[in-house]
Amino acid sequence: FSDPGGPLHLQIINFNFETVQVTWNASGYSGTNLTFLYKLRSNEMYGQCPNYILQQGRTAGCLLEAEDDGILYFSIRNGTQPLLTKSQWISSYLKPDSPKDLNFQWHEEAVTVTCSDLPHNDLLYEIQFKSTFDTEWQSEEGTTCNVTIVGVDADKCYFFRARVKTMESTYGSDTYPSDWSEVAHQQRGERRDSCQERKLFPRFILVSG
Amino acid sequence: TYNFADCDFEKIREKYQKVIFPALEGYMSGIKSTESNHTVYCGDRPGCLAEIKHLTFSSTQECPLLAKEILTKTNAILTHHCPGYSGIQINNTQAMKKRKKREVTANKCLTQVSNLIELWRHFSRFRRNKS
Repeated sequence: FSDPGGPLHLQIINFNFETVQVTWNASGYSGTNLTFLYKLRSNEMYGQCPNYILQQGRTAGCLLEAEDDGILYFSIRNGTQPLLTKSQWISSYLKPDSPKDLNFQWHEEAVTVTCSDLPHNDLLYEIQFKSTFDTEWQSEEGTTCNVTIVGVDADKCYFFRARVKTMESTYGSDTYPSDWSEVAHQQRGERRDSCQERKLFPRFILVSG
Repeated sequence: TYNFADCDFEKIREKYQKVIFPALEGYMSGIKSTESNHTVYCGDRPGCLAEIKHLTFSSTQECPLLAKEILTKTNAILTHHCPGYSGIQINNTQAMKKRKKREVTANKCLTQVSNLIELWRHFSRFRRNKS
């Protein structure tokens, strides 16, 4: 978002429809306390930000309770002069919660990873996995948190992690993937505290006299 | 005015994802809907469909008529999945005349299409038990 008085770089994050964080980088207004006015319905009056985020003692953002999936009407002002006035669906900036409590069901050379679905439509659950023999994570995705990964060797020790993404048709392209879940370790169908990373030592050491 | 309460919302949601969204997205040709202000709200699924119908088929000075593809697809889906809904008569000559004019105002419809995408998105986010 840019404004004749200088660029006002804005970031909006909707944390799982619980809180919405709007932050701005007002390099053109350093030393100024910008004010954030907002409303959640078009027929309401603008209200002052209840919870400013400060940086070096200056306002740099606002943290709001997200009541529902609706439109946020807001205005950022320098004194009485509006620098930016916008209205946006807060869902456009959704960052879902990260998945918790991954569960594993091992079967013949396959494992089904499950966790509890978030209460929002049209999300994608991404499961990443690698064994101690792999250097890169591999990914599988599902529209629910019930993803089966085939071709795994139960004897190997595996790392698993999960995150949630949104579908563009339902949320747009300005959302954020969730943070990754904690890494889970599994071997022979059981949970492990860790997997020993395999250091690649040469198998044969040539000893010459 | 028709009450969209008895429509098959899940079927319409599916058709939106597969048919309507690609058409609307194509119309935006890469411009994000977050680049314009979102001003049209809807509070439940029937209300969203009523707003979507109104915004799709309404004609304004700035945006006389949306792309025929959007009109016909939306009309077909609502007619097919909303019992008793008779749809909108899309007059070919009227569409042709206005399309000539629309070439000039194509980008004037971007805000309308952007709001339309956001209404469809909101419709899609409603959970099955929360109509």
